[in-house]
Amino acid sequence: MTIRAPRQPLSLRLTLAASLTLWCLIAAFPIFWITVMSFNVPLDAFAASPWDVSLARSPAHRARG
Amino acid sequence: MGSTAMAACAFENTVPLKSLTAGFEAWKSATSAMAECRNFTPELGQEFATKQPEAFAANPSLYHIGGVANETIVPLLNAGTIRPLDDLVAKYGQNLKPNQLIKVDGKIMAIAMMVHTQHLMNRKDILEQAGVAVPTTWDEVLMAAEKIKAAGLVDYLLGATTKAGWNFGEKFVNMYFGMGGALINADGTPSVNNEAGVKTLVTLKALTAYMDLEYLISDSTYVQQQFQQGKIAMANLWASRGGAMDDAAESKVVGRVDGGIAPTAMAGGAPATTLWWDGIVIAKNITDEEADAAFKVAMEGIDTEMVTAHNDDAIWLVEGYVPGRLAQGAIATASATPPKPSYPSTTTQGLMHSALGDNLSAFFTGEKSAAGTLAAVEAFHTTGAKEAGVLK
Amino acid sequence: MKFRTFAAFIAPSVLMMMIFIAAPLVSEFIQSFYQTQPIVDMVQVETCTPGFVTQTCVTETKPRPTPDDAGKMRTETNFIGWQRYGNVLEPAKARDAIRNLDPAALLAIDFWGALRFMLTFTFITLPLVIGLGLAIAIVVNNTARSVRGPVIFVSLLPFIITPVIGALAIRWLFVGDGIRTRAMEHYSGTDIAIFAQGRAIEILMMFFRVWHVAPFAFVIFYAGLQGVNQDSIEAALIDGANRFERLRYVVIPHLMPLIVFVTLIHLMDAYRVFREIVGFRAEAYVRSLQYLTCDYLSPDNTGNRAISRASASSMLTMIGIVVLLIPLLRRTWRDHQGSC
Repeated sequence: MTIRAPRQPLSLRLTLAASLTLWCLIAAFPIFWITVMSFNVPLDAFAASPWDVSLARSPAHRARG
Repeated sequence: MGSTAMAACAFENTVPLKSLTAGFEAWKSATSAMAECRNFTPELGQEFATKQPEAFAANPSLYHIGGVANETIVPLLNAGTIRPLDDLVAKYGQNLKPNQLIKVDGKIMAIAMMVHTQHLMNRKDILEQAGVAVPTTWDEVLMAAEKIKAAGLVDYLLGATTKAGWNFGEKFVNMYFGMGGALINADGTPSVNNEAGVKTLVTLKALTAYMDLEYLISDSTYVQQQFQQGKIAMANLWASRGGAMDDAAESKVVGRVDGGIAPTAMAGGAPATTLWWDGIVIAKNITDEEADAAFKVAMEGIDTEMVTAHNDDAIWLVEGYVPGRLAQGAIATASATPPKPSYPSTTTQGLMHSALGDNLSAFFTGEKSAAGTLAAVEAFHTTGAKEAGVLK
Repeated sequence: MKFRTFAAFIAPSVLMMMIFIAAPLVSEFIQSFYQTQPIVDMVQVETCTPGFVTQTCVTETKPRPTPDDAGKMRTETNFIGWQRYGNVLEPAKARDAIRNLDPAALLAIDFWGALRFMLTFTFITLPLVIGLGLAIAIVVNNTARSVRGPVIFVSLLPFIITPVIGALAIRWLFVGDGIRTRAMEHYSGTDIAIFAQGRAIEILMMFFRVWHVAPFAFVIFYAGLQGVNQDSIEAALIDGANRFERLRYVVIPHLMPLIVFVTLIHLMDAYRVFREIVGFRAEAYVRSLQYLTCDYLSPDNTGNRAISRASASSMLTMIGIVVLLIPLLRRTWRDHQGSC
């Protein structure tokens, strides 16, 4: 007869899930950023809103048509 | 890949030739003009200085034509791997101005095609708004910066190529010469821990108060971007970066940057900057026939046609150059009286420049005092000079 | 296995190591005691260079190597003993600084300042790497199987990316007006210049190293976790151990050889920190011995190179690594002896 470990309480599961998500964000973000920048003009590196740049809504994007 | 009017080469080159030069715009123009003569393979890149000494010392030399400047000609001269050009100039150099002939010990060793210098680029619109005239001395620069700061017109008043290492060394050398100092004594020992040296450090420190705090990582590209992003009002920057200010793809300040004369450090002194030249040399370890062809091709590369097609790439020394708006400052600097010094082409200068580049940041990060920093520079130079065998 | 078979098996590797590792090391060791210099004379030379309108000619005293009859540069090689080590270590200045209890003076010497940086870098990042790697491994091991694949992929990304590109990416996020700095400025309301402060750059470099190496530790520990003995876990459960006690008394001892392995690798790598300094362009504030060696070896634009100082400093780096690794290697050796 195998003894199973007691199920993890919900609070522990949530904490673990949240920390894992945080780590995945930290791990992936710089790479995501350089990928986004590789499609943009150098001007966008200093753009006022990074969201515009990421979602290809910056003026430089519009100007290039 | 601009639309170049394919100015045809005056002759068809039959000897396979190779060149190794720096990679900035002026060299791209010169080598593409040379390539029109056929059988020519240019190699351009910023690592050319590391490759050249060994490549030219090979027998036969790996390149026939080399692109050099004040500093980078020294290892080739010392090793004797470039040939004197007197007879080639007599045969093919009729279109050269006497100013272009670089002579060492009476022999022509290189043909200069352009001059280069750091001079004061400024946002004339900001200066006008603040009611400030374009400064001509470093003290005036400080006063102008104070006034513009009070008017709150721009993020940082000054930019500077003060990246720790070669760039910072160059800044120091320029200002130090402007203060009338001599870096190396006649016997090869360093001479930098003196009044002129301390004044230079103090002036530079005063300037940093108006700069972006991260100035120790600021190289030419960084300052260029600061200008293009409209973040600074004035900077002593290389003349070759002027063109980028009017590049619409990158710059927010097209048409608003002007070139002014490099400021002087002492009243009645020369502009506190050094004059650099860039030019071509021909290798020694090649046959005379190859050298002949190489010289002819090189002359095609730096002729009037090329300069007319690429006028704004550099301050050309070649006949037919018409200085543009952004070149005025560099030309004023180059023709000022008293004239500013040429950057010295010696091994000891190279050692001193490294010593400065490696040790100056200690003063600016607050680690050492001015005298302590300069003493460290001298000690570093002495160790290096002894190791290189130029000091016993 | 018979010794002869064993010897035949490893002979090619040993031969390669002799040629490509041992021989260069010996040659470098010898080189650090010698010095090759060109024979130069100080001569007066007139140089004419272009002014914008007319030429300027100056007569300066230059050192010029005198060529021999065949036109080649002459060099002489001298035995200089410990002189180069002295140049790098600066024992007289160091002794004075220690006697006067002046840490600033000691750290102002290139070698000792670099050593300080390397040791703090290594010993601060080590527990973080192991801790973070272990934490991620345990959490991923507990995740639902459906999500595990993508999570492992994302966790490995920092390690896959080339360190120089990774360092540049992080640098651009934080330098001057990079988006991270702007976000921080927005929240704190003050102007932030991370790259103007030596300590801040060091912390950023350590953050980068942990970010970069933790996935490596994670992958190794994760593999180790798959082999945890289920019987021991059951025994612990029966004994009434809670989650943390199970972790401490069963899982970690099981993973200990892997932890030692990761520690060994990390000590060697972190001690030779170099790419971060280049990627973050931090050479004005901090240097490492590896960076100093590269600096000595890089020719300046007039062709000067400090080769014997570079040999001395790279020998010193090697000695440092050996000293760091001795305790771990002794422990592994003792464990190995004990288990036979």
